[in-house]
Amino acid sequence: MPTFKVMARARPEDKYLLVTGLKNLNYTVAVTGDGTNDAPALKQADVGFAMGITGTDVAQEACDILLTDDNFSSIVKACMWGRNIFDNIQRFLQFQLTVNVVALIIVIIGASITKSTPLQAI
Amino acid sequence: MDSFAALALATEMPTKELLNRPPQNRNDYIVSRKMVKHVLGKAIWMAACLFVCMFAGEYFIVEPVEKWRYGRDSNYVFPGRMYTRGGQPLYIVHEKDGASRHMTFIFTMFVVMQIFNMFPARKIRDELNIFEGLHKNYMFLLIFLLIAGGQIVLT
Repeated sequence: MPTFKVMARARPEDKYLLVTGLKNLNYTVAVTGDGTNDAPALKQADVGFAMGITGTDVAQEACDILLTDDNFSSIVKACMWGRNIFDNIQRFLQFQLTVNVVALIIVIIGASITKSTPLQAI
Repeated sequence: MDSFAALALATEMPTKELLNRPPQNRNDYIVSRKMVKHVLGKAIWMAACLFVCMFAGEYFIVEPVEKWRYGRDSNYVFPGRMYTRGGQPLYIVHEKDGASRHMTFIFTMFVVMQIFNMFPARKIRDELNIFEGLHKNYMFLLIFLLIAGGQIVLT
């Protein structure tokens, strides 16, 4: 399976099986498709991209992301932005957790030892 | 202060290098092991600094006038904690009201540490150069200057 490059004349079941098999091998799978026969694979994949202009309604229903401009390079852009947003959430969490953990330590230990409130602004 | 900083951290733009990374697993934790390491490491370091100033600050924090350190008449600003480490009261006269310069020092120290913590917080994968790509992110720098300026005005 990992050596597959092209699978031609695939039936809907074959596409579905390919996605399921790849997921069983712990791959993260994205599927693009436009036709009705792609719908099971789109649904089964981690991320399903369907064509917004030429795609059939069934495929559009089954997908996770619609490519409204029918352009394959949009998939790359979507991937980039998705990772970027994930990174930004991690950055924000890293900063916020540091602030809160330090404040918590200071306030608890400080208050219990000095009997006054540390971290008061005045 | 920290909600602005959080906003600033969310203004990072995507780069081409993001595409070279393996995909994220759906079941991965959003707080990765490296982040936990960073958070705890920084927290311990900052807490240590602040505790040194909290419990030993009266020995080295500069007071403008020497006589204000101990036994002064005004009760507006008194330095230091109310008790020594042995539990003896340090500043009996002023313990009810007035502001503590010592605690102001500690609070400002905390805030400044967090402001400069914005830069390391941009890197979540152990990168060595924490300032990488900073010049492309004007919004981040703008918010940093805004927070720093606001804090200077406030204190």
